[in-house]
Amino acid sequence: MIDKKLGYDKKTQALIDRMCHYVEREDYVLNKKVAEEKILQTYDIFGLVRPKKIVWCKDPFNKRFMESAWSAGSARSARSAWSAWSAGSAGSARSAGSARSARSAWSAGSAGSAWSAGSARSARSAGSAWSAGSARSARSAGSARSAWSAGSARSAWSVDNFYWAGLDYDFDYFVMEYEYCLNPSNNKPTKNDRIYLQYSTLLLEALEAGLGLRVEWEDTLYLVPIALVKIDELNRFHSTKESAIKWKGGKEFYYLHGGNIEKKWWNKIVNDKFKASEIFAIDNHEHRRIAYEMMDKTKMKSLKDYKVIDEVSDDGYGNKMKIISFTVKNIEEPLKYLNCFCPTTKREYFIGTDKDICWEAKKSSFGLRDEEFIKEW
Amino acid sequence: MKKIQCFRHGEICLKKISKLPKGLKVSGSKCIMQGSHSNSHTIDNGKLYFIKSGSEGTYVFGYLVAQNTSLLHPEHSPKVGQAKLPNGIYQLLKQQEYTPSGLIPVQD
Repeated sequence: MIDKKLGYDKKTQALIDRMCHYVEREDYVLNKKVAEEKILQTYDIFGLVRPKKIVWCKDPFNKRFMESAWSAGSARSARSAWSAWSAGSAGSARSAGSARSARSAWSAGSAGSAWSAGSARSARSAGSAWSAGSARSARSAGSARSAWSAGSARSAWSVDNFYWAGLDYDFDYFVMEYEYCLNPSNNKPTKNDRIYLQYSTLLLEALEAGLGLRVEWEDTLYLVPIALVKIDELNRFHSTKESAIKWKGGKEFYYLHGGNIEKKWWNKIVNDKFKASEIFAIDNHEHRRIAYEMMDKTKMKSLKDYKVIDEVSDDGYGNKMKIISFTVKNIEEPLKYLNCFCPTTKREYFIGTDKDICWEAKKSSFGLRDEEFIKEW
Repeated sequence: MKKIQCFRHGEICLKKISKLPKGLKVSGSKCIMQGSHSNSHTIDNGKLYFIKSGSEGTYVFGYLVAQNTSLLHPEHSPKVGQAKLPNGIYQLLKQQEYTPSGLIPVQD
C-alpha cells in the first residue's frame, strides 16, 4: 500500500533502508561461503550451469579480475547469469512488459529516487576508485601495471566497462521493480518480475555477506569483497581520518570532498602541514580549494608582501570578492589571485589573475570584457 | 548599448550570440564538459557543437543551441529547471587562470 507521506510503499522503504545499511557499515565480516552460495543460486534460477571454479581477489585491481572483467565486458559472457538476464527471455519480458511501467513510476520520483538519494553504491565507489587507480597507473611509467595498461587494448578501458561487475549495479531497478510488484498500476506483475526480484534479492544477500563485485569468465567466477566507503554530507567520497575507499587488505584511496588525492598529499592537507605558498602552487583548482579550506587561515599572513588590492562586498549573490597579492621566491612579479565564492555551493576559490580589479579579473578569466553576467550557478 | 548576455555554470561560461558559425557538426553527446571528479556539465535538451581545441582562441570550445535547455551538474544544479537557459545560441567558453608561465584551464 502506498504511504501518502513517502509516495511509495513502506515495505519499499524498508528495502531501501536495508540497502543503505550495507553501504554505510563501518566494517563487516566476509562470509565467503554464504556469498558464494548466493551468487551461484542466481545461476540456478535462470537454469544456467554453475561455474566450475571460484577465485577470490582482494580488490578489483587484481590482474586476473581486471582481465576477466575486460573480456567479459567485451563479450558480455554469454553464459553468465547477468547476461542471461539481459539477453534472455526474462530480460526481454521485463523490458517489454511491466518493468517499463515500473521504470516510469520510478523516474517520476518515487521509490527509485529515494534509493538514489539515500545511499552511495558499491558500484559507484568501485567505479570511482577504479577511475582514480587507472589514471594513476597511466602516469607511473615504471610500474608493471602501467606497462600492462599502456601496452594493450586496455587504454580504452573506462569506468563504464567496470560498473556492471558491481552487484548493486542494477539496484535502482530492483527498488522500482519491488515497488511495482507491491503496487502495480496497469499491468499485473509477471512471473519474470518475480524472477527478477528473486535474482536481485540473492545479490543483496551476497552483498550483505560481504561480496561486492563478480565477474565470470571461462567457467571461473572471480569475486571481490565489498569496499568500505566513507562519504561526506553530499555523498562525496571523503574522510579526514583514513582512506575513503578501501578494500580490506587491498588498495585504498584517499578523498577529500570528492577529490581523489594521493596519500602523501592527503596526509599533508589533513594535518595542515602545507605552507600557504605551497597551497597556492597546487595546479588543480579543486585540490587547491580543498587544501585552502582545511588550512589554518592565519597562515595567509605568513605570505610575503600579502595584501588585498581590491574588494567587492557583494558579487550579486551575497558573496565577497577580493584580489589578493603576495610574492614568492624566484618569481619577480607578485602573484595575484581572484578570491571568490561559487554562487551555488558557496565554496571559496582562488583563481590566478593578472588584473587588479575583481570584476575585470572575473570576466577576463573567461576571455570577456564588456559582457554582462545575467545568471550564475 | 545593450551588453552581451552571459551565463556562468561553474568553470563554463555561455555567451549569447546571434548565429552559429558555418560548418559545425552537431555532437551526439549531451555532455558539455567532463569534470576531473566525474562531475560533468551536461544538458537535458538542446544541440551541442564542439570545435577543434584552440581553433578559436584559448577560451572557446564549442557552441550550444538551447531549446528548453537546463544545465545539469551534480553540485551546481543537479535537477532539471534549476539552471534553465533562455532559448538561443551560445558560445561555450572555458575558464582559464593566469600563471606567470601562461594561461591554464581551470580544473574542476
